[in-house]
Amino acid sequence: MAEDKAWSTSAEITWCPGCGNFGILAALRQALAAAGLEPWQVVVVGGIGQSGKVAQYIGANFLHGLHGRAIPHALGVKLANPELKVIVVGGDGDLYGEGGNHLLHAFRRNPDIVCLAHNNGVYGLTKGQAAPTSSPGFAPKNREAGTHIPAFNPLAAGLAMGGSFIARGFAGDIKHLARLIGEAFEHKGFGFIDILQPCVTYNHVNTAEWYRKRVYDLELESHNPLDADAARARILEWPAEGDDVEIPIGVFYRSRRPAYETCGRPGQAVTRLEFDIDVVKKAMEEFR
Amino acid sequence: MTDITLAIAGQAGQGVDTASELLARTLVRSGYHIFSYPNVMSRIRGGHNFTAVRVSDRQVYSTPGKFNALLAMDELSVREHRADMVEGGTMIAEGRMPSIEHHGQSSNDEARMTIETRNSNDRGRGERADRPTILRVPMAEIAGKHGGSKTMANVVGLGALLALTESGDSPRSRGRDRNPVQSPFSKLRNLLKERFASKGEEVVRQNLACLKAGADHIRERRVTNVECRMLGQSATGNRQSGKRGRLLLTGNHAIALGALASGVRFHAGYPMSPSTPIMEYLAAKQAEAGLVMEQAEDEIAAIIMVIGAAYAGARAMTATSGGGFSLMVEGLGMAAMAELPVVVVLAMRAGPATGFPTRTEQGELLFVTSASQDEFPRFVFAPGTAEEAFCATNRAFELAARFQVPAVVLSDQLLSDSLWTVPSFNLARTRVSSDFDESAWQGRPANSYRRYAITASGVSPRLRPGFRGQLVRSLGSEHDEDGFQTEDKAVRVKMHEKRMSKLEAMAGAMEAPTCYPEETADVAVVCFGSTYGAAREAVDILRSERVSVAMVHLCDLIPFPRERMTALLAPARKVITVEGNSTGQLAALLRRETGIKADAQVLKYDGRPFEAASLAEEIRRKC
Repeated sequence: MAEDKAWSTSAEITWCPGCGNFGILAALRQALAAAGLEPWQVVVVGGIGQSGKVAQYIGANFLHGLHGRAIPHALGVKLANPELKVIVVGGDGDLYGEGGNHLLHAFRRNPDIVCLAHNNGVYGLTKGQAAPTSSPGFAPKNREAGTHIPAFNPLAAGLAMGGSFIARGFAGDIKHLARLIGEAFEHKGFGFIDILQPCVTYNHVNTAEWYRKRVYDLELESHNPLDADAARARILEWPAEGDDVEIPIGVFYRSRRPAYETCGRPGQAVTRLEFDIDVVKKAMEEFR
Repeated sequence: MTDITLAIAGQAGQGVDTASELLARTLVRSGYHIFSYPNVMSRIRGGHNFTAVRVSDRQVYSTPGKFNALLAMDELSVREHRADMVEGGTMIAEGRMPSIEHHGQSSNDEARMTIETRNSNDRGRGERADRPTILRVPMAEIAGKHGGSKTMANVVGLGALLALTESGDSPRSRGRDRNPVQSPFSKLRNLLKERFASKGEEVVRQNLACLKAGADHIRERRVTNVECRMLGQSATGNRQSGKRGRLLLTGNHAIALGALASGVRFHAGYPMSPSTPIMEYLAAKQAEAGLVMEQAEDEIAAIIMVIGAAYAGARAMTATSGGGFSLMVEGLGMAAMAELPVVVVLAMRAGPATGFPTRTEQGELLFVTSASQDEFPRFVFAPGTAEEAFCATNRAFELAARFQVPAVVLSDQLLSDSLWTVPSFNLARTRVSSDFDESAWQGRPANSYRRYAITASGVSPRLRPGFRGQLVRSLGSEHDEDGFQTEDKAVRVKMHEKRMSKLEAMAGAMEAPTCYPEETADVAVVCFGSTYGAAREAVDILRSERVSVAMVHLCDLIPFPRERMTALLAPARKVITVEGNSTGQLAALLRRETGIKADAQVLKYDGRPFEAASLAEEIRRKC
């Protein structure tokens, strides 16, 4: 699409051919184009890993920070200047492993930030170790006998932590994913999307074909995302043991809560405030 | 010259901290200078805490010696501090009707209060002089009667303590008659009214009643303490110098005010003693000062948020202690690589690990000079007084922004927690520069901004994200001028050199070491940070004994002032370093940077501050 050209950069894309990241990048570009945003209004905050590189490929402002820390970087940006559209992109290692604590608190805080979690169940950039979302039967590097621990369920954690927009997408369904990202843009709060993606190099269990056979769209099942109990039931369908599992995608849960940056805050870009010496004078008087 | 110490001791939760702050402020308003050091345990209830308030008619810089008077809120305090009292000192202690004999001036009193001396039965009058007089006041009971709750016992005690500053001549009426406006007692009345006004008239009335009842308890006994009485008298005489231009505040508050005076817009932090009051102060100022204070889930998140806010264009800071700083270390390097200005306050305590959470030490100097992997330019400031803490915090913000590097303000529990009297800060001398020249970018071709453009100074123009038509790319990976990641070795060398090339101008922007009272003497005492006060007063003591000694104090530490230190120390016959750690980190740094080997070192690592008299003794031995 012609309008997508605005959302690209001169940086060379260094992913493996066939990587699920391409689908996510394409969906994000479509969603950005559809949202009518200008590149200079958007800040993409990338984690470290193959996924975080999206920050450099999207053609907006970016802060490409430390591994695991995309969410607090983004929160700092958003609290300092709520006028910016802030998007976090990170992988399962970044957002669920190294930075898991930040994710839990992001659900609680509910800043108006969109968070795209690239979930391929394996570590790519460090060459094939287990991720928090690796399924127990998957035998990654260092754990040839299997991971033996249940996979992390980010959607269940999000629901438990009071998350206000909890969704799952699939990198193999770009159109569906672009629509989900668009809904997250519209949502005034923490718009979280766990995105299933194959890793063609290191995950030979959860392949594109494997996912394609199992995913189904919640919307076609008349799921009501305002119903927390229904959301919980759908969220617990997967990850789960067994080969006959079905994997729901779409918006599981949505609620209205005030966005964090508007709660008891100056409510404007503090980056643009003029220095006022009288505030300091008055503060000093209080120490007489 | 007046230089006396009033102390307050008790369990955590008995209001020692509040009472000592009220006492200190009362005396400052009466025209005195204060240095007040809290000696607290890491617990919320029980235990034993005490704060010693040193009162003088000239500026004082270090922790007090023996106590002239002590308000003991519990019995442990009485036992614990007998040996800390000066000859003829007075204790006001919780309790009534002890069985020990009555004697001296109050021997005609009824049993409500007793004056004790330990072992007084088997001592002659001359020997009693070195024992503290103990005045029993049933503070909790009086507080219950007049304040409705024993929590105001500390105010009763304060009233009793301040009654000691009054003339003991005519019972019952002093303090009110003599000079009602200027006596410390009246100052405290006014302070209590201010402090509790927001809690309603009843609370004010109760506090005033408790204060008066405590004072009357002493007044009726015609007890007096010579030094304390002088305090009351000179306070009256000191009316003119009841300086309007004087502040009483902790080092932490001086740092927080310095941040406000530097236009801070964002603070993220995680509570950690002794830095926490900085965060609490800024949180309370959010609406008024237009800033955001975010309590992070951990110190990693704190510095990472600060970096995000700095990227967005806010002047941003965090404050922590050694453990939290250890978690922030990777973030410090991120700020350096992305060339974003952040200010980190590191208030040291004794470590490693949890160490002594509420006590002081200077063991993190070398850590902070090299924290985070690989090499990058940074500033480190180690202020010695509250006044210097205010100014150094302003320099940290200004210079971090000018050079787009991280800056650390190195405090410690002694500087951070002590109450200092300082002249009002001179706001004409603080600066808040504009960190962006956005007008220069109006009308430029779209997408022409290069975040890491190579310049002669190594500093690239900054823009805030959200600038129409331009994109701001910041990152922690090695990058080209546009801000895209690269693995090119030539670009790596160029970018590394760009960052490191700032060092020379950074060194030039720093302030020279403080020399006291002159630049050269036979013996140079070299120190950094909060050791300033004890070292300065030790130098005074030694010079009064005709020892040729001067202090060289380093606040602006990194980049290290090589040339200045080399020149300053060249004429000295002996260089003695004084620092609060066990290996001599300042001495090591001095040798590394200048080749100068300290002739002797004075080291302290027991979690307690240096004390001027004993430090003078140590220096004398090593001269």
